[in-house]
Amino acid sequence: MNKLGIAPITHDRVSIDVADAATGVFVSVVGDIDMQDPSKLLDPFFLKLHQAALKEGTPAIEVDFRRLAFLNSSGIKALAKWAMLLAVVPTEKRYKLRFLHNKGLTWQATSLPTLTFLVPGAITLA
Amino acid sequence: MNLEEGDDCFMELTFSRRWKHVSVVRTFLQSFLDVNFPDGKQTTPERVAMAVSELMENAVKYASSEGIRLSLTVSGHDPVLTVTIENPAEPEAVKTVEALYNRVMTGEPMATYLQMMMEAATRVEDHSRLGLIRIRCESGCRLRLETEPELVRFTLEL
Repeated sequence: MNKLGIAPITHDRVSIDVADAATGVFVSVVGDIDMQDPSKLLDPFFLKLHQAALKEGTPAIEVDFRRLAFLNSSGIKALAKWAMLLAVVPTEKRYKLRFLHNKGLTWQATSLPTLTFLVPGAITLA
Repeated sequence: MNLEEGDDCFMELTFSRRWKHVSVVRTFLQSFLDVNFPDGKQTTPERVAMAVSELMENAVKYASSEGIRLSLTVSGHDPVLTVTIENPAEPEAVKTVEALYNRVMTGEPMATYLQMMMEAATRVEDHSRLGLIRIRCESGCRLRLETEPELVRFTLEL
């Protein structure tokens, strides 16, 4: 188990794992997210991750989307909700959120950069 | 329906409102377009398949009865690719889709996408309302909506 105590998820055609990393935690998202209402899966997961990271003073969360082949628009909404959670956290208390993306996948090249504009400075892309 | 002069292929499929059809159609369409995609276009089979997947999701959400219809034409003349998805819908749902489409087609695409992302993030309801704007920004296709009192029809053209 990672230091935030977040359990991995395997549901439908996606698996999400959380591992400790030198700068905080590393989250890998693999598969396809195309279920009818991914918010039921993703919203509580991201909220738990967010709250645990703030509580533990985690410096950074790195999320690896490079093996997530498809994310539907409801999944994008879930990511947007996560990003907006950071908007109400004072800048000095925020963890750094970094998305690793595959520019060869259109949704990652377009939607992920747009998400970074929701809370300027809070999310970076690599 | 038979192929018309200059068309390479035509297909038509009819579905019930089962969510699992969405991913099946997306996967099939992407594989099909991988070997039948028109030359010289900026977009890709992956982008078109994403757009069709979002339109299928909309159709499943808003259909008032069974009978979601998808047709695809690959042609040697413009438009070189046409995908039409239509579903029966209650009049109120038709109005909802029209209003959403009009909103999506307004303004600079990425600015509208960002604004709609912000709205989605703070809305409680489960619908993201991001599918159409995503198509406008990511698909590389022209999107058109036609409605009848109890029918919604989206067309993607390339």
